[in-house]
Amino acid sequence: MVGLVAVGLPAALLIRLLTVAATLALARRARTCRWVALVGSMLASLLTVTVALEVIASGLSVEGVLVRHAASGIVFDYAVTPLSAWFLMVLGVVAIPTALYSAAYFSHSVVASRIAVVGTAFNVLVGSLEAVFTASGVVAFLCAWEVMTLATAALVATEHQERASRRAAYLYLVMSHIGTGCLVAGFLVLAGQAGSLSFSALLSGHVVSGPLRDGLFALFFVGFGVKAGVIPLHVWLPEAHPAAPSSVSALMSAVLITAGIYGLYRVCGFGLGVPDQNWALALMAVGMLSAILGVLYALTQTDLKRLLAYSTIENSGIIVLGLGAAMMALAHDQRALATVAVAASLTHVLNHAIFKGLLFLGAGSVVMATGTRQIEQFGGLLRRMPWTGLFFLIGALSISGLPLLNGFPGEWLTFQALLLGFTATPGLVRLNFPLAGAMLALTSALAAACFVRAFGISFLALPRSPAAGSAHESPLLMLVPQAWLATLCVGLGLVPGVALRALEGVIVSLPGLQLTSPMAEGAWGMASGIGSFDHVVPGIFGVAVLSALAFAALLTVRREAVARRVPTWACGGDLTARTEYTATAFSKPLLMIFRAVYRPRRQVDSLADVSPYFPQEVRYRTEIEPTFERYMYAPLVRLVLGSARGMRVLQAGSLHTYLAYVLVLAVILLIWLGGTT
Amino acid sequence: MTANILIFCAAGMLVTAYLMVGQKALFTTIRLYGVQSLLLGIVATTIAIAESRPELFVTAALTVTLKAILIPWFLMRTVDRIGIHREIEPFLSVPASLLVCLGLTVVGYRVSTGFQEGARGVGHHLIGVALSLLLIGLFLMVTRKKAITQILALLTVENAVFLVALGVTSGMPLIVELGISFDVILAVLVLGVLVRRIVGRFESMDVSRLSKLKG
Repeated sequence: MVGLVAVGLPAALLIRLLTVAATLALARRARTCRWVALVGSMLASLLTVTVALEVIASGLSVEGVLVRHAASGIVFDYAVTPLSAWFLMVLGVVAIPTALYSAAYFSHSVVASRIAVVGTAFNVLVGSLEAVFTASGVVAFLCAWEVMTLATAALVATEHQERASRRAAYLYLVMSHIGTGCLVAGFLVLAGQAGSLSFSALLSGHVVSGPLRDGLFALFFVGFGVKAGVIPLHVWLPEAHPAAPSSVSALMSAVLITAGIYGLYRVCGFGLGVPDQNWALALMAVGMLSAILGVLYALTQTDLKRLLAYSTIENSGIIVLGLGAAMMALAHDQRALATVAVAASLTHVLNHAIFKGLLFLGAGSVVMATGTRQIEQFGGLLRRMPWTGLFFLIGALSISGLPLLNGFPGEWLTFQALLLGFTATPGLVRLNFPLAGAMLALTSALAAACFVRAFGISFLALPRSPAAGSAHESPLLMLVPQAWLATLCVGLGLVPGVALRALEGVIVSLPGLQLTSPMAEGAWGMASGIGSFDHVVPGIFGVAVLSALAFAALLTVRREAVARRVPTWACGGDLTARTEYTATAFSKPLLMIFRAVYRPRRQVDSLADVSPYFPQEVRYRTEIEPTFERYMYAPLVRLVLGSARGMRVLQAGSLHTYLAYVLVLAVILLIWLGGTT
Repeated sequence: MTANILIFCAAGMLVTAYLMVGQKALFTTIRLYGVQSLLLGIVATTIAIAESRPELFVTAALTVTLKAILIPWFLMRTVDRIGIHREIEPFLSVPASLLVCLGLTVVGYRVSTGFQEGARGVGHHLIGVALSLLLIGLFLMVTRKKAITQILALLTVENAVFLVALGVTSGMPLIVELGISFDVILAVLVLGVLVRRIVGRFESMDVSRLSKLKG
């Protein structure tokens, strides 16, 4: 076992490289190529997960060298710290079922001629994510970071014949490069101050201080925030996620986002020394904003994958909020509180990856069966795709944070940290905690509404389109991964203690954190360790809620009532899909309540032949204000384009002008520098 | 005596450059370039005799055969074949051009005072002339439209660089000289062909029309 851990990562990398080579060599034979790429990916992921689990269990880092080039002195070495191992495990848990799913899904959704490219990009993406999580130096980290960005862009542009895909890939690249630019700048300054390029020296926390430290924090926050998809840096996310093939969306949403979170943890949270209170406030504010706006935007989407993408922003916000709370606690030296907040945030990283992966895979099945992503075209899918429906339901219940499922532990711990934060911190900033708690409560409620809508409109009632009516259940190969993830949802919801116990080793490895009491009570219970009313066993809690509901149902049943089975009353007409509640209608009341945020524009046209009182057809259009795109990014883009246009005057295209530049510059330089002695 | 000859020749080169700026007829301009190259050859020969460095004779011979005879002959042939003999209106009128060149000469001389004095006590003048020549050559390139004049301006710049090399280091190693000469031949040949092409395509030698090629 020890031997495997020592060579696990290089071996995984080797497998990936061989897989990529084989995939490209077999490009002509689509079927073989697909299987080689995805089985290779699964094997490599299996290895890394083994290493990760071993590191988490033992709490000891594994270090080694990946590539050493003696002539140039370049060494890419890796270090699997417990924190890295946690993220590596999250990656593996999602990447393995996703690869299995893709083996069937790609044969339907990706053109045969592009299988090799997509398979390669898939492997490169997972491999570079592994490298990002385990890099122990700046150069390796930034290389892996860029490769990850490019692989994702290639996958987003899989259907590059469509304009929307190209636009999404372009937007993603632009935003990513802004982020990477910030990261490069930040790391270079940090390396200059530390005199070293290895993370152990760079992120020891004593390298920089004062305003420079604040500046670096801001750079890294923007750099990692772009990948984490937090508002207002989220604009690429709702475009890129729907454009990619669904299984890739699952990977992006579950793990790519996590790369940003990992960076925030590694550098902003625990790499620049004891956090400043203002940093924590910034993180909490951004987290809150992302959570509430993410779910609000998700609520109005009619594209299933866009809806899930916005929900990713929401969950990313919750994770960042937890980290912000931890940093706030550290700034006030409240270590126990910080421990709870970090546990909350990291638990949610794992759980979000699982249920969001599940939901995206489910969405992929639905999209494959119906050929559209529009919720309004679905309906009645539960009867035609019972298994997919069941798994999607489990995912939807998880993401709503209901007990018995795995969305609950993370959100409960976050609430716990926020509620305890009020008493633990001094001054006015403590008001931040109850505010965040209230926001989070609202977010959870809205998320539940959002997924009631997503599930109800998609899977219940009658089919709203012929495509939905003729939908078929997905092949077994696509159902097994979903079943696995759904099992994890239920399992981690029932026995959150397993994950929390594993997390203890990760928590003590972070600087400034310590464990005052165990996080878990047995496998079934959770305990945040501080405060008095903080122990919960989700299993019992859930069963209690369920039995209370059952009891209430029992009370309402009257003895003398006789059940009569009749068709649904349709006001005397036929019952068709047109009488159904639509997704737009479902979210309308919330749209009106949050009018101030959405600023919706509605347009009702009624087309009438004879008299306006007898319309032939009524058309209803509604759209919500894209606030960030319009008021933040549009002026920025205008500024950049404007200055570029201004500079184009210099580039006149005339030979003589260019020669004149040379002459004038030469004369100026000669006058300025020449004849000084 | 040596110093006098050097300064006289250098001054002559500057004068030919001024005449090129003031001249519109292409034949005369080419001949002026020939004279300029001849003077450069004399400079090289003088230094070769004064410092008894026989390899500089080769340089001088190369300069005279190539730049004073062969290249002018080739360019005149090109002009003859094309049948365009005069430079049309330059971007800047002749009097204004001469004034600007005066300023450039001042700059060149001002800068040359920053160099260390050469072994023969004339280094300062040679460098001053060479820098002025270089700037004037660049200026010619900027203001003239005919492709032939552009070539001549480039060659003037090349002469200036040569003069600097002679003035500061009393000549470059022979292999470098040979390389540069070869470069010049190739440049002139290629540019000559290019000129024919431009004329064939645009019915004109006006380089400023090339900007129409932009997409």
